[in-house]
Amino acid sequence: MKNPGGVAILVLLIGLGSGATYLTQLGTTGRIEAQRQMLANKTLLEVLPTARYDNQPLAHPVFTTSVTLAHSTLLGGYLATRNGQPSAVLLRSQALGYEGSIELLVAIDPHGRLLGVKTLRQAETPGLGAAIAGWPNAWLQTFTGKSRQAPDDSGWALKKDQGQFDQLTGATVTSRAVLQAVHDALRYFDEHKAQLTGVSADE
Amino acid sequence: MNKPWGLTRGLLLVPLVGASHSLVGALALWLAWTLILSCQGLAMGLVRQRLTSGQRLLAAIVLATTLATCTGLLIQAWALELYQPLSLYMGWIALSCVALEHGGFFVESRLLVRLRLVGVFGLLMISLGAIRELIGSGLPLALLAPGGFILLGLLLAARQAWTAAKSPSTLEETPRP
Repeated sequence: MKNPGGVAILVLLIGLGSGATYLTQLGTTGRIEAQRQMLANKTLLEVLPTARYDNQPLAHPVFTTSVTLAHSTLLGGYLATRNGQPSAVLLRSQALGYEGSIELLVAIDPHGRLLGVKTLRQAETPGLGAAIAGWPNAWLQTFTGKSRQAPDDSGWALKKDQGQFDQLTGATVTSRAVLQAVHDALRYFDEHKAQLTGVSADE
Repeated sequence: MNKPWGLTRGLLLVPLVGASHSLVGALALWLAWTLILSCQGLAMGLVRQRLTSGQRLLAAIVLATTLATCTGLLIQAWALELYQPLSLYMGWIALSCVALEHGGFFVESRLLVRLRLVGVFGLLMISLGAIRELIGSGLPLALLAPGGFILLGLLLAARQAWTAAKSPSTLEETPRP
């Protein structure tokens, strides 16, 4: 070796560098994981007003295997509670849009009324169907307060299909897919209310 | 202006267009870059004389990756939301430090020249970040990479026009080197 002193410095630097990196990693893993969890919760739970729950809904899955419905697939469901009473059920729904799959989070209160819909993932046409993204979303808010019974099944369609809902301009396929997924989720909730909220349906 | 300078300045374009879509992100990346670059300069100053040029490059790589990785981990631990759009550019910081070291930035240039590079880069990052965030809500193109290029071009053009308007007579009489 031409420069033994230099090699020694290099070895020392490499040792120090790997040691520092290892220690930093060791020290931050816990925090990073907690941050990641918090961020995931935040994006998911935006759909629920914070006053509505006091538990960790994502830690309370009500079912884990996906359920295939008429127009969509439910990927998961979570229960939000307040003072020990069920206050909302969150359903993660996947539907087929115009460009690809759309993932929605549908929040339903214990009486079967829709609390909110949020788009988690979409790849629709920018400027047209992509208007389903973003939060809060004006078009998705038109579903808030609706339930399986009101309107009835024939009303749960776009005006173009003799229903009562407006569509997004120039994005009939996307609008229809989202609407049907929301309707599917409400229908599923109605049929599995007891199982989802953990309350026996004898009232 | 020799070749390594062109390379390092070209490298600065990457985050200038890629990471400046929000003011906070641009500011954070500039601060991280400045911090890592200073630490790199200081640490290399301690060992530079005792290394051959090949060893110097190796040492610069080890130092830059260590600094960038540790800074990245710390930002993740305290501001993950901020880090996510910047994650790609943390690696770029290491690359930029190595390129600057290799180009003799810490040895050949004076302190003033170094400060000028840091200052100009910071000024551009912050103004681009501010402009893009300001008009991005109404004009989505501004948030995409092509929009970043166009705005950077407009900024440079504005500077050219301003310096030309400020001293038209002196420019004609005594062309600067």
